[in-house]
Amino acid sequence: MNLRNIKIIYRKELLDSLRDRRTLISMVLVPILMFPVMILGVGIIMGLVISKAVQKGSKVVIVGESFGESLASKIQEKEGVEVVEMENYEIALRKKEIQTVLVIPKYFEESLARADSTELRILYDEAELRSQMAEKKLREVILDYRDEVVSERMTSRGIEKSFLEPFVVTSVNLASKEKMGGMVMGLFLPYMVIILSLTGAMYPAVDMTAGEKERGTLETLMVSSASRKEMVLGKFTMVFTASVITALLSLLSLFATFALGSSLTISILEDFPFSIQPLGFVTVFFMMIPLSAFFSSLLMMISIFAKSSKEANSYIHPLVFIIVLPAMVSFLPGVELNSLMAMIPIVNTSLVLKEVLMGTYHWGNIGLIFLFNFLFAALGLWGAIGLFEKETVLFRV
Amino acid sequence: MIQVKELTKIFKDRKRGEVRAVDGISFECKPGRIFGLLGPNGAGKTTILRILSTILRPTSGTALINGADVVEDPLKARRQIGFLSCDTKLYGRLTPREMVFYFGRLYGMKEDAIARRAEEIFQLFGMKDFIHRRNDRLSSGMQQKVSIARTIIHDPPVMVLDEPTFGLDIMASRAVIQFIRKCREEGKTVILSSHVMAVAEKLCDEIAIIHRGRILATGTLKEHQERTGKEDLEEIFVHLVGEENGANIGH
Ligand SMILES: Nc1ncnc2c1ncn2[C@@H]1O[C@H](COP(=O)(O)OP(=O)(O)OP(=O)(O)O)[C@@H](O)[C@H]1O
Ligand SMILES: [Mg+2]
Repeated sequence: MNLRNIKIIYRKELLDSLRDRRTLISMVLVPILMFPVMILGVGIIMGLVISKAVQKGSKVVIVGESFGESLASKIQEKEGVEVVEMENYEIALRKKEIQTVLVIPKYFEESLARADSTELRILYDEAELRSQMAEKKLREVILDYRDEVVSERMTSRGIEKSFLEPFVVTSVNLASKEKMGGMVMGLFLPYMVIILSLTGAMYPAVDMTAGEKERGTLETLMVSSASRKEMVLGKFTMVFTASVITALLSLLSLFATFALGSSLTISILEDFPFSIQPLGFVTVFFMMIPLSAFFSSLLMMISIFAKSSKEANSYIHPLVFIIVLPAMVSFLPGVELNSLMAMIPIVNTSLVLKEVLMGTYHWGNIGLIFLFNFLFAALGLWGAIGLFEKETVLFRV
Repeated sequence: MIQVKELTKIFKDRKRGEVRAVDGISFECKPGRIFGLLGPNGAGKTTILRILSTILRPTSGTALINGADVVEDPLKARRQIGFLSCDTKLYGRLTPREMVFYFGRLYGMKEDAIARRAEEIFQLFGMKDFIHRRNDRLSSGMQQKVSIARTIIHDPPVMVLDEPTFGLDIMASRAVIQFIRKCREEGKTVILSSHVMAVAEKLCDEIAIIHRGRILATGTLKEHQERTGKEDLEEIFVHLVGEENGANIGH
């Protein structure tokens, strides 16, 4: 084996890939744009929808207003609520002409005066954002009103407030901010990064093998004096490069998105206080390297076997589904990394990334998984070389 | 110098079962001469030439390329060869210059040696004004020139050419024929395949007529003419193939 030849082939494939718009899109553009578009896009759209709903305010029909005039006047004072009169209020609610209906029972104030208990009914439409918000507002006003009534009753009977509230419960969350943010991120980030590094390797792997068969350049390469093994290794190195670049760019883009998102105070990002230490970032990236190598060799094996890009893609699509499932293991609460899990490719990376993002570093496991994944990559590479040396595979008819 | 010894290639085809594409063929091509393989479609020409260029391994038998065994030492054999066929396409996103340099490097040449040799070739084929354009934007005549440049960058003593004028217009195929003659003048060993009689008649010093993986007759055009009593290569060809088919029916 000649290292110089591997380097020559790698350099040529790199140049070739950089001139190929589709490789650039899958290697650079998709990982950079994916997260901002997804997270900021969803955040901005949700923000717009909510602020529009808030602006519009909500229309409320109060049935039996005369039975509870003091409550009705409190509702009228509430910001963003407009009390309207309507006969067929249920139909109007379905037609979205109004957002909620408050039904005040007969003799409501009389029963309050008697210190009885009675029922207030709110009609709303849970499937409508504006109706949901209106219900919340209405409930706020009503509960405030109830508290007033209660405290009036207590003072009139000379009862202290502490009688009803013998103690208060305060929960103190000791999880670090990193862990809280990491918990949310740990759920879906491993999955996203794993899938992106797979897709980053996909196009170049197919293009450099099955694609070359299809375009008739593979036979040209085979008469050069590089050995088949050197050809596979040179091409593999390029596929691996593409996959690692994709993983790195998607990680960077993710963190940039969160940094940008929190400076723009986008509402859904405020719910996910996310920060990661440099150590976490570096560890996540390093754990992606052997997995990228594994994906690259696996994809190369498949596309060396295929006669055309089309055939290769038809094998790869089912593979993506097979890989998506173990990658999603990070979504499952309670699945913890153990030595058995550490030996299952993809599952091990998904779980270890989740741990690292939550600030837990089991260096033994991390090292083990790193080595195991490289072992799987080596196996895949060995298979790819074996297939590439078989003329029945290269000249399949 | 090419020495082919009892070469056999059997393909296992899922539909047709075993296909004897090359069936115990032996022949020799000498330096400074052009050897032509003439045969109908499916005769086994491409398969023979692919074995010589070590893309395929023979089922049995072997061939020596300037003494290097294609089975025992394929890398050494490959270095002696310039192989050109319709299936050796160019990398579309590279330029002719990059293409030629890529192969020069893979043949283990030094950068300055490649630069000198490439300059010579570009000059010779009048390629100067398109060596920095992308291959996929060149006309097919220009592409054929680039392919030839790629084939001879390492100045191989043996040229293996599969249908070298296939799909080219008159001007382009004239240029290729001139190039092949020049190889002969330089003392290279040239083997080519064709099913175009005119090309074989014009170029080849020795012609092997092959059919169904076997050589029916080898010799100069004159020898073929004397043996069969026919003037024209096409007539000779039809005569020999007819004889073979007749013999098969007779069995
Ligand atoms: N990879 C392969 N697998 C199975 N059979 C093959 C393979 N390659 C060639 N063959 C068969 O071997 C025989 C010889 O084919 P070959 O391509 O050598 O013929 P040829 O003389 O070059 O024909 P043409 O003039 O059409 O180029 C044919 O029957 C062909 O179908
Ligand atoms: Mg052929």
